[in-house]
Amino acid sequence: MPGHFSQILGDSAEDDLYALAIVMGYNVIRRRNLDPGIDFIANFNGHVFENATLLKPPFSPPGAAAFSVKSGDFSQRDLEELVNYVARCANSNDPTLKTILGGVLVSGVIKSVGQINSILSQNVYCWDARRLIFYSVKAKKVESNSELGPVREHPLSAPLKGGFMFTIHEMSSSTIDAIADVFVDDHNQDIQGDHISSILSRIHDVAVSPVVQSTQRNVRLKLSLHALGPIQRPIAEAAYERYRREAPSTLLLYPTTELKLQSYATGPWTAIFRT
Amino acid sequence: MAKPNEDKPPKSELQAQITFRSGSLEITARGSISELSKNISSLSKLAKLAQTELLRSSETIPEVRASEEEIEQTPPVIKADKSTIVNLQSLFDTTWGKLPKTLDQITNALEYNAVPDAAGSIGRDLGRLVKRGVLRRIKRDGKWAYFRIPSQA
Repeated sequence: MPGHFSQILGDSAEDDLYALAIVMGYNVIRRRNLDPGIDFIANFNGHVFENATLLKPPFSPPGAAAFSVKSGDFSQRDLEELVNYVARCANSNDPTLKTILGGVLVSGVIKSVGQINSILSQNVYCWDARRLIFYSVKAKKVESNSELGPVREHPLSAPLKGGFMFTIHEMSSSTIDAIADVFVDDHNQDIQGDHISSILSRIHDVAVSPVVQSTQRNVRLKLSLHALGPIQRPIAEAAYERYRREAPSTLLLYPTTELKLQSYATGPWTAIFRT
Repeated sequence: MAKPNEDKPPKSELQAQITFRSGSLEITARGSISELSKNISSLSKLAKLAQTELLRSSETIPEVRASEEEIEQTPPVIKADKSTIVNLQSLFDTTWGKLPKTLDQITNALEYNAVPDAAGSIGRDLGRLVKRGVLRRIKRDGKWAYFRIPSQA
């Protein structure tokens, strides 16, 4: 009975991750590869909800990825097995397996930053529960934005890893109301003042400016920032306020009280009731 | 006693610099006082030209907008097609389609062009155009309003 139960959990976790991978923009090209034993193989195309174009998650292998899904924690043996499977794929005669360039180990528990970095040193990307919540919130946001029109994820400026979406929510004779949903997919990144300025400049240049040009309206913008790493809130808010006061006249930023900063470093589940 | 002619440009080889500023535009000219005086009207013309030609493409928003009220009220005339979805695309390709339009306004615009359709099927086609990435929509008083932005952000 316990063995049967764990099999049900494992299959269910695989189905759940499969569903998330699809809405993240992955194209699953094979499920349950027997030899080597890989839960599923997927490559990234970025097209979801018919009208959304997303960027490949920065924390993922290049090319096709071998996904190994664990409903709970995983052992060192599970990790070594995946490392070994990925190595075997490179020497395989199977053209699908040959495209695999790395592994993703999905875990239902939260891993420390040190553990994730240590696993990455073996060319395996560990998507722990923290990251899965982050990706789930992002997928939900993409879905709701796609109801309003085409969605395009724009990359952030280096060194920030991640992207943003710009969505129009209202239009008057002089102003467009929009929200920029920013997702920084880097557990090592501590968000500080310079990052906020960089994000706002990027949004202005890539999204606000073209809209101002094509509609001849000012853009009133709300910023919603999701970051896997910690956010230095007072410093970030001060940088936002500074940018707000000095922003081009066509970009009207909402007051700091409307700024949404969501870190997933601690209590990632708070994103569920805050967003 | 002859008075000095004040309209005559001053003659001096002393080097000078004139900086003209207007909003975000700045023009600087350097030369002798004689040269600058001689070319002052050309500089003035250059400033006017730069203001009209260069600032037009910058981010400044014109104070006066092209009769948007008229665009809002009058449905455009389109080349009618058998397909409602094609007619909708034609409507939103016009300046009329740049401002959000409710289902009622869109239904009226189709009737105006003698290509009416049931509100339900127009709504379905509008939803398809949103999903295809052709149109955007916003919620106004609980109802969708559709519009098109040429360069999508």
